[in-house]
Amino acid sequence: MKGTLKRTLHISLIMCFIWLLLIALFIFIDRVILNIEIENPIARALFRNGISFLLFSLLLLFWRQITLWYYHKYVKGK
Amino acid sequence: MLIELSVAGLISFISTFILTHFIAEFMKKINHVGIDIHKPEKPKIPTSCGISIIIGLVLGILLLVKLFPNYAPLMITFIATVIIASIIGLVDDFIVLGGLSKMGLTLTSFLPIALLSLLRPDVYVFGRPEVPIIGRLRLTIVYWFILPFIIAGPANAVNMLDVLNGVMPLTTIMASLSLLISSLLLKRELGIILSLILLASLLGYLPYNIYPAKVFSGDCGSLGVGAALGAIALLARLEIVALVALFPHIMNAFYVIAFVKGFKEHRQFPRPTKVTEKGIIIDSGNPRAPITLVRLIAGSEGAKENEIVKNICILQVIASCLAVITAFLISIAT
Repeated sequence: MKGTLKRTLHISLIMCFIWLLLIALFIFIDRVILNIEIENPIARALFRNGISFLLFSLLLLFWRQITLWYYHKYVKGK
Repeated sequence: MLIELSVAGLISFISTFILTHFIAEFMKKINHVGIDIHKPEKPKIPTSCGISIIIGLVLGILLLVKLFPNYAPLMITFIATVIIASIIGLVDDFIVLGGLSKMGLTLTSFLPIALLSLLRPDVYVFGRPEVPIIGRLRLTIVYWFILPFIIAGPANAVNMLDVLNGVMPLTTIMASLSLLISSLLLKRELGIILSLILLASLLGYLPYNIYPAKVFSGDCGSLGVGAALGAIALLARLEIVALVALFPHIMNAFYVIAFVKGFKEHRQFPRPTKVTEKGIIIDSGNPRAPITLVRLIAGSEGAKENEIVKNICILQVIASCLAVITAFLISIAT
C-alpha cells in the first residue's frame, strides 16, 4: 500500500476515534455531570458548564497530542 | 416540492457554471491572479472566482423564497450570513487581512441569525443542540458562547483547507451531500432546501477548480461556502452533524491554530510543505512550520498534488459517512 494512502487511513482512524470519544463525552455529560444535584442555581450552572468546557478542552488537547505523536513517529523522516 | 427544488437547483448549477467563466475572464483582465505554487511551471490563475458559487447559491435560494413563504425569513437570513462572509473574503482577497482580524470579522456573519432570533422569535429561536443517542442536550450557557463560532469556525476551517486544486469544492460537495441525507433522515425541510442548492452551486463550480485548476476560489468563495455550511447547521439544527461532516477541515484548522498558538495568517509562519521540480509535494521538515493535513498525508517521500487531493477526499468520504451515522443516531433519540 502506498505511504500516502496508509497515512490517510491512519488519520481517518484517529478521526473515527475522536468521533467515538465525542459521542461518549456527550453521553457522560448528559447522564453523569448534568445529574449531579447542587442546590444553588449559580453554583450548579458554573459546575455543569465548567466541567463540560473542561472535558471538551481535554478532548481537543488529546487530539492534538495524538496527532503530534503520530507525526513524529510515522511521518517525519520516514 | 421536488419539482421546485430541482428547478432552483438547476438554475443554481447553470448560473454558477456560466458565471465562473465570465468572472475568470474579468479577473484575468484586471490581473487579479494567484500563482499555483504546487505546479512546476508556476502558472498564474485568476482568483476570487468562488464569488460565482455565492451568486448561484443566492439566485437559487431567492427563487425558493416565494415558493416557501414559511421559510422566507430563514432563507433571507441565510443569504445575509453568506453574503457578509463572502464580502469579508473579497476584501481579504484584495487587501490582505491579518488572521485575527479575519476571524474577528467573520464572527460578524453570525449577526443576521442573532437578529432574526431577537426580532422574530416566532420563526427562529436558538435551541439546544441535538446530539446522538441522548437527543436534545441540556447545556444552554456554553451553547450561547459557541454560537458565533458555528458560522466563523466552518468559514475559516474551509478557507484553511483550500490549498490544493479542487479540495474546497470536492470536500464541501461531500459535506453538503451528508447534510442533505441527514436532513432527509431527520425530516428537516429547510436543511434539505439549503443543502441541495449549495450542492448544485458547488457542482457548477467544480469543473473549473478541479485539478488542474483553471480558477481559484479565493477567500470570498471558501469563506462564503464555509459560512453557508455553518448557517445550514444552525438554522436547520444540524450542529453536531455539520461538526462531524467538517471533521477534516476542523482537524486541519485545529492543528494549525494549536501549533501557531493563535489565529495567524499563513504568510506569518514558514511553509509546512515544499514542491520539488517534478511537482511532488513533500514535508518541508521545518520544525517551526505547523503540522497540516497536507503535510501529514504527503510525508517526507511526498506525493503529487492530485494524489493528495484524492486522499483528502477519502478522509472526507469517511467524515461524511460518520455525519450520516450521527444523524441516524439523533433520529433514534428524538
